[in-house]
Amino acid sequence: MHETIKIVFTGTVGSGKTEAVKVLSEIPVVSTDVDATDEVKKIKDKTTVAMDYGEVSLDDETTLALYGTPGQHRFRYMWEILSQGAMGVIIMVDDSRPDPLSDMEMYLENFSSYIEESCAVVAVTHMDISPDPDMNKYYDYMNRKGIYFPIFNVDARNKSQVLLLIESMMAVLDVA
Amino acid sequence: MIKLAIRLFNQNEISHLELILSQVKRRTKTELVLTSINNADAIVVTPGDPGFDALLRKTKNETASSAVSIVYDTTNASRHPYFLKKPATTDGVIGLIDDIEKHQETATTEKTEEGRQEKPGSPVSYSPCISSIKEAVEKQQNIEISINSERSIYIHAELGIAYAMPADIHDLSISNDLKRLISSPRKLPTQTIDGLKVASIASNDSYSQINLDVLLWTITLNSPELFSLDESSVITLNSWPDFTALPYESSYLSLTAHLMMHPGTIGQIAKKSTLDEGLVKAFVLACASNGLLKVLEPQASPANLEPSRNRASPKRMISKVMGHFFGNRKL
Repeated sequence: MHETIKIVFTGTVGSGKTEAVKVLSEIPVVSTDVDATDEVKKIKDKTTVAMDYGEVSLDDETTLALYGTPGQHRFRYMWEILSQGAMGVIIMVDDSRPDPLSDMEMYLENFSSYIEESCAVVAVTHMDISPDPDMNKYYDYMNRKGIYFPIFNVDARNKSQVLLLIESMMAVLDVA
Repeated sequence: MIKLAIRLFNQNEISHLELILSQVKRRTKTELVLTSINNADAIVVTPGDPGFDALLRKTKNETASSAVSIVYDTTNASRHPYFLKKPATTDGVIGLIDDIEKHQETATTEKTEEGRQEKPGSPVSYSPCISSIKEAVEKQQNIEISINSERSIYIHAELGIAYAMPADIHDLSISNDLKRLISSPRKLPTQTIDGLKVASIASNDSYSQINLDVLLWTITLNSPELFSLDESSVITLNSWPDFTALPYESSYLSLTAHLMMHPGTIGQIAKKSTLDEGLVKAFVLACASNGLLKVLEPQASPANLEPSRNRASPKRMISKVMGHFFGNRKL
Protein backbone atom coordinates (compact mmCIF):
# COMPACT_ATOMS: atom_id res chain seq x y z
CA MET A 1 0.00 0.00 0.00
CA HIS A 2 1.32 3.41 -0.92
CA GLU A 3 2.00 5.75 1.96
CA THR A 4 2.24 9.54 1.96
CA ILE A 5 4.14 11.54 4.56
CA LYS A 6 3.29 15.22 4.70
CA ILE A 7 5.30 18.27 5.73
CA VAL A 8 3.69 21.73 5.67
CA PHE A 9 5.43 25.05 5.04
CA THR A 10 3.49 28.01 6.38
CA GLY A 11 4.22 31.69 7.00
CA THR A 12 3.53 35.18 5.81
CA VAL A 13 3.31 36.30 2.19
CA GLY A 14 6.80 36.47 0.67
CA SER A 15 8.50 34.52 3.47
CA GLY A 16 9.85 31.89 1.06
CA LYS A 17 7.39 29.00 1.35
CA THR A 18 7.13 28.44 -2.39
CA GLU A 19 10.92 28.60 -2.80
CA ALA A 20 11.47 26.10 0.02
CA VAL A 21 9.04 23.63 -1.54
CA LYS A 22 10.69 24.15 -4.94
CA VAL A 23 14.24 23.42 -3.77
CA LEU A 24 13.19 20.07 -2.30
CA SER A 25 10.60 18.86 -4.77
CA GLU A 26 11.47 16.27 -7.40
CA ILE A 27 8.49 17.28 -9.52
CA PRO A 28 7.68 20.71 -10.92
CA VAL A 29 5.85 22.43 -8.11
CA VAL A 30 2.10 22.71 -8.58
CA SER A 31 1.26 26.25 -7.58
CA THR A 32 -2.08 27.96 -7.35
CA ASP A 33 -0.57 31.39 -7.88
CA VAL A 34 -2.67 34.27 -9.14
CA ASP A 35 -1.90 37.90 -9.87
CA ALA A 36 -1.75 39.79 -6.61
CA THR A 37 -4.35 42.52 -6.39
CA ASP A 38 -4.23 43.67 -2.79
CA GLU A 39 -1.42 44.93 -0.55
CA VAL A 40 0.54 41.82 -1.58
CA LYS A 41 1.09 43.51 -4.97
CA LYS A 42 3.64 45.75 -3.26
CA ILE A 43 5.70 42.67 -2.37
CA LYS A 44 5.37 40.43 -5.43
CA ASP A 45 3.35 40.02 -8.62
CA LYS A 46 1.98 36.54 -7.93
CA THR A 47 0.71 35.07 -4.68
CA THR A 48 -0.41 31.60 -3.58
CA VAL A 49 -4.16 31.44 -2.89
CA ALA A 50 -4.70 27.75 -2.11
CA MET A 51 -1.42 25.89 -1.85
CA ASP A 52 1.90 24.92 -3.39
CA TYR A 53 2.49 21.25 -3.83
CA GLY A 54 5.71 19.40 -4.38
CA GLU A 55 6.76 15.85 -3.72
CA VAL A 56 9.71 13.59 -3.17
CA SER A 57 9.69 9.85 -3.74
CA LEU A 58 11.27 8.33 -0.63
CA ASP A 59 10.99 4.76 -1.90
CA ASP A 60 8.66 2.69 -4.07
CA GLU A 61 5.97 2.78 -1.43
CA THR A 62 6.38 6.18 0.16
CA THR A 63 5.96 9.75 -1.05
CA LEU A 64 6.90 12.82 0.91
CA ALA A 65 4.31 15.49 0.10
CA LEU A 66 5.39 19.10 0.59
CA TYR A 67 2.61 21.63 1.01
CA GLY A 68 2.99 25.41 1.06
CA THR A 69 0.04 27.23 2.58
CA PRO A 70 -1.28 30.56 1.33
CA GLY A 71 0.18 33.43 3.34
CA GLN A 72 -2.80 35.72 3.75
CA HIS A 73 -4.66 35.41 7.02
CA ARG A 74 -8.02 35.34 5.25
CA PHE A 75 -7.08 31.95 3.82
CA ARG A 76 -6.34 30.49 7.24
CA TYR A 77 -9.07 27.86 6.83
CA MET A 78 -6.65 26.31 4.32
CA TRP A 79 -3.94 26.08 6.98
CA GLU A 80 -5.99 23.63 9.03
CA ILE A 81 -6.96 21.57 6.01
CA LEU A 82 -3.37 21.28 4.82
CA SER A 83 -1.85 20.53 8.22
CA GLN A 84 -4.15 17.61 9.01
CA GLY A 85 -2.05 14.48 9.35
CA ALA A 86 1.22 16.29 8.69
CA MET A 87 4.45 15.03 10.22
CA GLY A 88 5.50 18.57 11.07
CA VAL A 89 5.11 22.20 10.15
CA ILE A 90 7.82 24.65 9.14
CA ILE A 91 6.89 28.21 10.06
CA MET A 92 8.63 30.72 7.82
CA VAL A 93 9.02 34.23 9.22
CA ASP A 94 10.00 37.16 7.00
CA ASP A 95 12.33 39.28 9.15
CA SER A 96 11.88 42.29 6.87
CA ARG A 97 8.20 42.68 7.77
CA PRO A 98 7.22 45.36 10.29
CA ASP A 99 6.64 43.02 13.26
CA PRO A 100 8.02 39.56 12.50
CA LEU A 101 7.90 38.39 16.14
CA SER A 102 4.15 38.95 16.16
CA ASP A 103 3.91 37.11 12.84
CA MET A 104 5.70 34.14 14.40
CA GLU A 105 3.48 34.29 17.48
CA MET A 106 0.36 34.33 15.30
CA TYR A 107 1.42 31.21 13.41
CA LEU A 108 2.52 29.40 16.58
CA GLU A 109 -0.88 30.15 18.12
CA ASN A 110 -2.84 29.19 15.02
CA PHE A 111 -1.03 25.89 14.76
CA SER A 112 -0.71 25.32 18.53
CA SER A 113 -3.08 22.37 18.85
CA TYR A 114 -1.45 20.74 15.87
CA ILE A 115 2.11 21.51 17.08
CA GLU A 116 1.36 19.87 20.45
CA GLU A 117 0.77 16.64 18.59
CA SER A 118 3.76 16.87 16.27
CA CYS A 119 6.56 19.37 15.76
CA ALA A 120 7.34 22.84 14.43
CA VAL A 121 10.53 24.33 13.10
CA VAL A 122 10.90 28.10 12.67
CA ALA A 123 12.80 29.47 9.67
CA VAL A 124 13.63 33.18 9.76
CA THR A 125 14.21 34.56 6.26
CA HIS A 126 15.28 37.85 4.65
CA MET A 127 17.67 38.77 7.47
CA ASP A 128 20.03 39.98 4.75
CA ILE A 129 17.48 42.69 3.94
CA SER A 130 16.57 43.50 7.52
CA PRO A 131 18.81 42.17 10.31
CA ASP A 132 16.55 43.52 13.04
CA PRO A 133 15.12 41.81 15.02
CA ASP A 134 18.19 39.61 15.22
CA MET A 135 18.12 35.92 16.11
CA ASN A 136 18.64 36.63 19.82
CA LYS A 137 15.25 38.29 19.98
CA TYR A 138 13.68 35.16 18.52
CA TYR A 139 15.62 32.99 21.00
CA ASP A 140 14.47 35.21 23.88
CA TYR A 141 10.88 34.97 22.72
CA MET A 142 11.04 31.18 22.45
CA ASN A 143 12.67 30.87 25.89
CA ARG A 144 10.10 33.13 27.53
CA LYS A 145 7.34 31.03 26.04
CA GLY A 146 9.04 27.76 26.97
CA ILE A 147 9.25 26.70 23.31
CA TYR A 148 12.32 24.66 22.47
CA PHE A 149 11.75 23.89 18.81
CA PRO A 150 14.54 24.53 16.28
CA ILE A 151 14.85 28.04 14.92
CA PHE A 152 17.32 29.01 12.22
CA ASN A 153 18.06 31.95 9.97
CA VAL A 154 17.89 30.51 6.46
CA ASP A 155 17.79 31.41 2.81
CA ALA A 156 14.79 29.54 1.39
CA ARG A 157 16.58 29.20 -1.97
CA ASN A 158 19.48 27.34 -0.36
CA LYS A 159 18.77 23.61 -0.47
CA SER A 160 21.22 22.64 2.27
CA GLN A 161 19.66 25.17 4.63
CA VAL A 162 16.13 23.95 3.86
CA LEU A 163 17.38 20.40 4.45
CA LEU A 164 18.66 21.53 7.86
CA LEU A 165 15.06 22.43 8.70
CA ILE A 166 13.92 18.95 7.71
CA GLU A 167 16.75 17.20 9.55
CA SER A 168 16.20 19.17 12.76
CA MET A 169 12.47 18.37 12.54
CA MET A 170 13.34 14.67 12.37
CA ALA A 171 15.64 15.08 15.39
CA VAL A 172 12.87 16.65 17.47
CA LEU A 173 10.30 14.04 16.40
CA ASP A 174 12.77 11.30 17.31
CA VAL A 175 13.25 12.72 20.81
CA ALA A 176 9.66 13.81 21.56
CA MET B 1 26.33 50.39 41.90
CA ILE B 2 26.79 50.19 38.16
CA LYS B 3 30.32 50.15 36.77
CA LEU B 4 30.65 51.94 33.45
CA ALA B 5 33.54 51.82 31.01
CA ILE B 6 33.87 54.35 28.19
CA ARG B 7 35.74 53.78 24.95
CA LEU B 8 37.61 56.34 22.90
CA PHE B 9 35.85 59.44 24.22
CA ASN B 10 37.60 62.76 23.80
CA GLN B 11 38.42 64.81 26.88
CA ASN B 12 35.39 67.10 26.47
CA GLU B 13 33.05 64.13 26.28
CA ILE B 14 34.64 62.52 29.35
CA SER B 15 34.32 65.75 31.35
CA HIS B 16 30.69 66.15 30.30
CA LEU B 17 29.85 62.55 31.22
CA GLU B 18 31.56 62.86 34.61
CA LEU B 19 29.50 65.96 35.32
CA ILE B 20 26.27 64.17 34.38
CA LEU B 21 27.18 61.14 36.51
CA SER B 22 27.77 63.33 39.54
CA GLN B 23 24.32 64.91 39.01
CA VAL B 24 22.74 61.49 38.61
CA LYS B 25 24.33 60.38 41.88
CA ARG B 26 22.48 63.14 43.71
CA ARG B 27 19.13 62.17 42.18
CA THR B 28 19.13 58.38 42.44
CA LYS B 29 20.12 55.66 44.85
CA THR B 30 22.25 54.02 42.19
CA GLU B 31 25.84 55.10 41.96
CA LEU B 32 27.63 54.99 38.63
CA VAL B 33 31.38 54.74 38.61
CA LEU B 34 33.82 54.74 35.72
CA THR B 35 36.01 51.68 35.52
CA SER B 36 38.07 49.59 33.09
CA ILE B 37 36.42 47.49 30.39
CA ASN B 38 37.28 44.21 32.12
CA ASN B 39 35.37 45.14 35.28
CA ALA B 40 32.45 46.95 33.68
CA ASP B 41 28.76 46.17 33.89
CA ALA B 42 28.24 48.36 30.84
CA ILE B 43 30.50 49.72 28.10
CA VAL B 44 29.66 53.06 26.46
CA VAL B 45 30.67 53.09 22.83
CA THR B 46 30.29 55.52 19.93
CA PRO B 47 29.71 54.65 16.25
CA GLY B 48 33.13 56.17 15.42
CA ASP B 49 34.84 53.45 17.46
CA PRO B 50 36.48 50.81 15.20
CA GLY B 51 35.20 48.11 17.55
CA PHE B 52 31.62 49.47 17.51
CA ASP B 53 30.03 46.70 15.42
CA ALA B 54 31.93 43.92 17.17
CA LEU B 55 30.95 45.17 20.63
CA LEU B 56 27.29 45.42 19.69
CA ARG B 57 27.42 41.97 18.17
CA LYS B 58 29.08 40.66 21.29
CA THR B 59 26.35 42.12 23.53
CA LYS B 60 23.76 40.35 21.41
CA ASN B 61 25.60 37.05 21.51
CA GLU B 62 26.53 36.94 25.17
CA THR B 63 24.41 35.80 28.06
CA ALA B 64 22.69 38.19 30.43
CA SER B 65 25.62 38.00 32.86
CA SER B 66 27.95 39.81 30.43
CA ALA B 67 28.58 43.55 30.23
CA VAL B 68 26.11 45.39 28.02
CA SER B 69 27.15 47.83 25.33
CA ILE B 70 25.55 51.27 25.37
CA VAL B 71 25.44 53.23 22.13
CA TYR B 72 26.28 56.90 22.67
CA ASP B 73 25.15 58.91 19.68
CA THR B 74 22.73 61.63 18.55
CA THR B 75 20.34 59.01 17.12
CA ASN B 76 19.90 55.30 17.72
CA ALA B 77 20.47 54.32 14.11
CA SER B 78 21.36 50.73 15.01
CA ARG B 79 18.19 50.43 17.16
CA HIS B 80 20.33 49.07 19.95
CA PRO B 81 18.41 48.24 23.14
CA TYR B 82 20.80 50.30 25.30
CA PHE B 83 21.07 53.82 23.95
CA LEU B 84 22.19 57.11 25.48
CA LYS B 85 21.37 60.21 23.48
CA LYS B 86 24.29 62.52 22.87
CA PRO B 87 24.97 64.88 24.62
CA ALA B 88 24.11 62.93 27.76
CA THR B 89 21.55 64.37 30.16
CA THR B 90 20.74 63.29 33.72
CA ASP B 91 17.26 62.11 32.64
CA GLY B 92 18.80 60.10 29.81
CA VAL B 93 21.26 58.40 32.15
CA ILE B 94 18.58 57.70 34.80
CA GLY B 95 16.41 56.02 32.14
CA LEU B 96 19.37 53.93 31.13
CA ILE B 97 20.04 52.86 34.73
CA ASP B 98 16.59 51.24 34.85
CA ASP B 99 17.37 49.24 31.72
CA ILE B 100 20.76 48.08 33.02
CA GLU B 101 19.33 47.13 36.42
CA LYS B 102 16.67 45.03 34.68
CA HIS B 103 19.47 43.35 32.75
CA GLN B 104 21.36 42.64 36.00
CA GLU B 105 18.22 41.17 37.60
CA THR B 106 17.84 38.92 34.60
CA ALA B 107 21.45 37.84 35.00
CA THR B 108 20.88 36.62 38.53
CA THR B 109 17.54 34.91 38.01
CA GLU B 110 16.95 33.87 34.45
CA LYS B 111 13.72 31.98 34.57
CA THR B 112 11.48 30.86 31.77
CA GLU B 113 7.72 30.53 31.91
CA GLU B 114 8.17 26.79 32.16
CA GLY B 115 10.14 27.27 35.36
CA ARG B 116 13.63 26.34 34.22
CA GLN B 117 15.65 28.03 36.92
CA GLU B 118 19.18 28.90 35.85
CA LYS B 119 21.96 28.19 38.31
CA PRO B 120 24.53 30.99 38.51
CA GLY B 121 28.17 30.26 37.67
CA SER B 122 29.82 28.37 34.87
CA PRO B 123 30.41 24.61 35.14
CA VAL B 124 33.16 24.80 32.53
CA SER B 125 36.76 25.87 32.88
CA TYR B 126 38.66 26.54 29.71
CA SER B 127 42.09 25.47 28.55
CA PRO B 128 44.84 28.12 28.23
CA CYS B 129 44.24 28.06 24.46
CA ILE B 130 40.57 28.95 24.61
CA SER B 131 41.25 31.41 27.41
CA SER B 132 43.82 33.19 25.23
CA ILE B 133 41.37 33.53 22.36
CA LYS B 134 38.53 34.62 24.61
CA GLU B 135 40.80 37.16 26.31
CA ALA B 136 41.82 38.61 22.93
CA VAL B 137 38.17 38.97 21.95
CA GLU B 138 37.30 40.60 25.28
CA LYS B 139 40.13 43.09 24.88
CA GLN B 140 39.42 43.55 21.18
CA GLN B 141 43.00 42.60 20.34
CA ASN B 142 44.08 41.19 17.00
CA ILE B 143 46.52 38.35 17.65
CA GLU B 144 48.67 35.81 15.85
CA ILE B 145 48.85 32.30 17.30
CA SER B 146 51.94 30.52 15.99
CA ILE B 147 51.28 26.86 15.25
CA ASN B 148 54.84 26.24 14.09
CA SER B 149 57.59 28.18 12.34
CA GLU B 150 55.58 28.28 9.11
CA ARG B 151 51.93 28.47 10.05
CA SER B 152 49.78 30.60 12.30
CA ILE B 153 46.19 31.39 13.05
CA TYR B 154 45.29 35.07 12.94
CA ILE B 155 42.46 36.38 15.09
CA HIS B 156 40.72 39.58 14.02
CA ALA B 157 38.85 40.19 17.27
CA GLU B 158 37.09 43.36 16.14
CA LEU B 159 35.43 41.57 13.24
CA GLY B 160 34.93 38.29 15.10
CA ILE B 161 36.81 36.28 12.48
CA ALA B 162 39.98 34.24 12.19
CA TYR B 163 42.24 33.29 9.30
CA ALA B 164 43.67 29.79 9.21
CA MET B 165 45.06 27.37 6.66
CA PRO B 166 42.58 24.67 5.59
CA ALA B 167 45.28 22.15 6.53
CA ASP B 168 44.92 23.26 10.16
CA ILE B 169 41.18 23.57 10.44
CA HIS B 170 38.60 22.34 8.01
CA ASP B 171 34.99 21.36 8.53
CA LEU B 172 35.00 19.33 11.79
CA SER B 173 38.72 18.51 11.78
CA ILE B 174 41.86 20.15 13.07
CA SER B 175 45.47 19.29 12.30
CA ASN B 176 47.67 17.33 14.66
CA ASP B 177 49.97 20.35 14.94
CA LEU B 178 47.10 22.51 16.11
CA LYS B 179 45.89 19.81 18.45
CA ARG B 180 49.38 19.52 19.97
CA LEU B 181 49.55 23.27 20.41
CA ILE B 182 46.23 23.60 22.17
CA SER B 183 47.00 20.56 24.34
CA SER B 184 49.90 22.43 25.83
CA PRO B 185 49.32 23.45 29.44
CA ARG B 186 51.29 26.61 28.76
CA LYS B 187 49.82 29.86 27.53
CA LEU B 188 49.62 30.00 23.76
CA PRO B 189 52.49 31.58 21.80
CA THR B 190 50.61 34.69 20.76
CA GLN B 191 51.56 38.16 19.71
CA THR B 192 49.47 41.23 19.07
CA ILE B 193 49.28 42.29 15.43
CA ASP B 194 48.05 45.42 13.73
CA GLY B 195 45.32 45.91 11.13
CA LEU B 196 47.80 46.02 8.25
CA LYS B 197 49.09 42.55 9.08
CA VAL B 198 45.54 41.22 9.25
CA ALA B 199 44.75 42.85 5.90
CA SER B 200 47.76 41.17 4.30
CA ILE B 201 46.64 37.78 5.61
CA ALA B 202 43.10 38.41 4.40
CA SER B 203 44.43 38.82 0.86
CA ASN B 204 46.55 35.65 1.09
CA ASP B 205 44.89 32.80 -0.82
CA SER B 206 46.53 30.20 1.43
CA TYR B 207 44.34 31.28 4.32
CA SER B 208 40.62 30.77 4.74
CA GLN B 209 38.41 33.07 6.73
CA ILE B 210 36.41 31.43 9.48
CA ASN B 211 34.07 32.79 12.07
CA LEU B 212 35.52 32.85 15.61
CA ASP B 213 32.51 30.90 16.85
CA VAL B 214 33.35 28.19 14.32
CA LEU B 215 37.01 28.20 15.41
CA LEU B 216 36.13 27.75 19.08
CA TRP B 217 33.45 25.17 18.20
CA THR B 218 35.79 23.02 16.14
CA ILE B 219 38.73 23.22 18.52
CA THR B 220 36.50 22.21 21.42
CA LEU B 221 34.90 19.31 19.58
CA ASN B 222 38.38 17.97 18.84
CA SER B 223 39.83 18.46 22.30
CA PRO B 224 37.16 17.94 24.95
CA GLU B 225 39.79 16.48 27.29
CA LEU B 226 41.25 19.98 27.65
CA PHE B 227 38.19 21.27 29.42
CA SER B 228 36.81 20.47 32.78
CA LEU B 229 33.11 20.28 33.36
CA ASP B 230 31.12 19.63 36.48
CA GLU B 231 29.42 16.53 35.18
CA SER B 232 26.75 16.53 37.87
CA SER B 233 25.33 19.75 36.44
CA VAL B 234 21.85 19.65 34.94
CA ILE B 235 22.28 21.32 31.59
CA THR B 236 20.29 22.70 28.70
CA LEU B 237 21.01 25.18 25.89
CA ASN B 238 19.97 28.81 25.48
CA SER B 239 19.11 28.15 21.85
CA TRP B 240 19.78 25.79 19.00
CA PRO B 241 23.38 26.21 17.79
CA ASP B 242 23.50 28.02 14.47
CA PHE B 243 24.00 24.96 12.31
CA THR B 244 23.77 27.08 9.16
CA ALA B 245 27.25 28.35 10.14
CA LEU B 246 28.67 25.69 12.48
CA PRO B 247 29.81 22.38 11.00
CA TYR B 248 27.69 19.54 12.32
CA GLU B 249 26.71 15.92 12.04
CA SER B 250 23.25 14.48 12.61
CA SER B 251 24.02 13.32 16.15
CA TYR B 252 24.48 16.99 17.13
CA LEU B 253 20.91 17.72 16.06
CA SER B 254 19.73 14.80 18.14
CA LEU B 255 21.73 15.97 21.16
CA THR B 256 20.41 19.51 20.77
CA ALA B 257 16.85 18.19 20.70
CA HIS B 258 17.53 16.19 23.88
CA LEU B 259 19.19 19.08 25.69
CA MET B 260 16.50 21.57 24.68
CA MET B 261 13.52 19.38 25.44
CA HIS B 262 14.72 17.16 28.30
CA PRO B 263 17.57 18.82 30.27
CA GLY B 264 19.76 16.48 32.31
CA THR B 265 23.34 15.66 33.26
CA ILE B 266 25.86 14.51 30.65
CA GLY B 267 25.38 10.91 31.78
CA GLN B 268 21.60 11.18 31.60
CA ILE B 269 21.68 12.71 28.13
CA ALA B 270 24.08 10.00 26.94
CA LYS B 271 21.86 7.26 28.30
CA LYS B 272 18.68 8.75 26.88
CA SER B 273 20.15 9.43 23.45
CA THR B 274 22.12 6.16 23.43
CA LEU B 275 25.10 8.17 22.21
CA ASP B 276 28.64 7.83 23.52
CA GLU B 277 29.25 9.87 26.67
CA GLY B 278 32.51 11.27 25.22
CA LEU B 279 30.62 12.57 22.20
CA VAL B 280 27.97 14.14 24.42
CA LYS B 281 30.64 15.83 26.53
CA ALA B 282 32.50 17.17 23.48
CA PHE B 283 29.28 18.55 22.04
CA VAL B 284 28.22 20.15 25.32
CA LEU B 285 31.64 21.79 25.72
CA ALA B 286 31.53 23.07 22.14
CA CYS B 287 28.15 24.62 22.95
CA ALA B 288 29.73 26.16 26.07
CA SER B 289 32.54 27.66 23.97
CA ASN B 290 29.84 29.43 21.93
CA GLY B 291 28.05 30.72 25.03
CA LEU B 292 25.05 28.42 24.54
CA LEU B 293 25.27 26.28 27.67
CA LYS B 294 22.85 26.92 30.49
CA VAL B 295 23.11 25.18 33.87
CA LEU B 296 19.84 24.62 35.68
CA GLU B 297 18.99 24.15 39.32
CA PRO B 298 18.43 20.40 39.79
CA GLN B 299 14.76 19.44 39.72
CA ALA B 300 13.18 17.42 42.51
CA SER B 301 11.86 14.81 40.08
CA PRO B 302 14.45 12.53 38.50
CA ALA B 303 14.96 12.67 34.75
CA ASN B 304 13.34 10.01 32.61
CA LEU B 305 16.25 7.91 31.41
CA GLU B 306 14.32 5.73 29.02
CA PRO B 307 16.09 5.81 25.65
CA SER B 308 14.00 7.87 23.26
CA ARG B 309 14.22 5.22 20.59
CA ASN B 310 12.07 2.89 22.68
CA ARG B 311 9.19 5.29 22.74
CA ALA B 312 6.33 5.42 20.34
CA SER B 313 7.50 7.83 17.65
CA PRO B 314 7.09 7.89 13.89
CA LYS B 315 10.45 6.15 13.72
CA ARG B 316 9.77 4.36 10.48
CA MET B 317 8.83 7.62 8.74
CA ILE B 318 11.81 9.45 10.25
CA SER B 319 14.08 6.71 9.01
CA LYS B 320 12.67 6.97 5.47
CA VAL B 321 13.07 10.75 5.35
CA MET B 322 16.58 10.57 6.82
CA GLY B 323 17.57 7.76 4.48
CA HIS B 324 16.43 9.63 1.39
CA PHE B 325 17.90 13.06 2.12
CA PHE B 326 20.89 12.22 4.28
CA GLY B 327 21.99 8.75 3.23
CA ASN B 328 23.66 6.92 6.06
CA ARG B 329 23.52 9.78 8.52
CA LYS B 330 21.71 8.63 11.65
CA LEU B 331 20.20 10.76 14.37
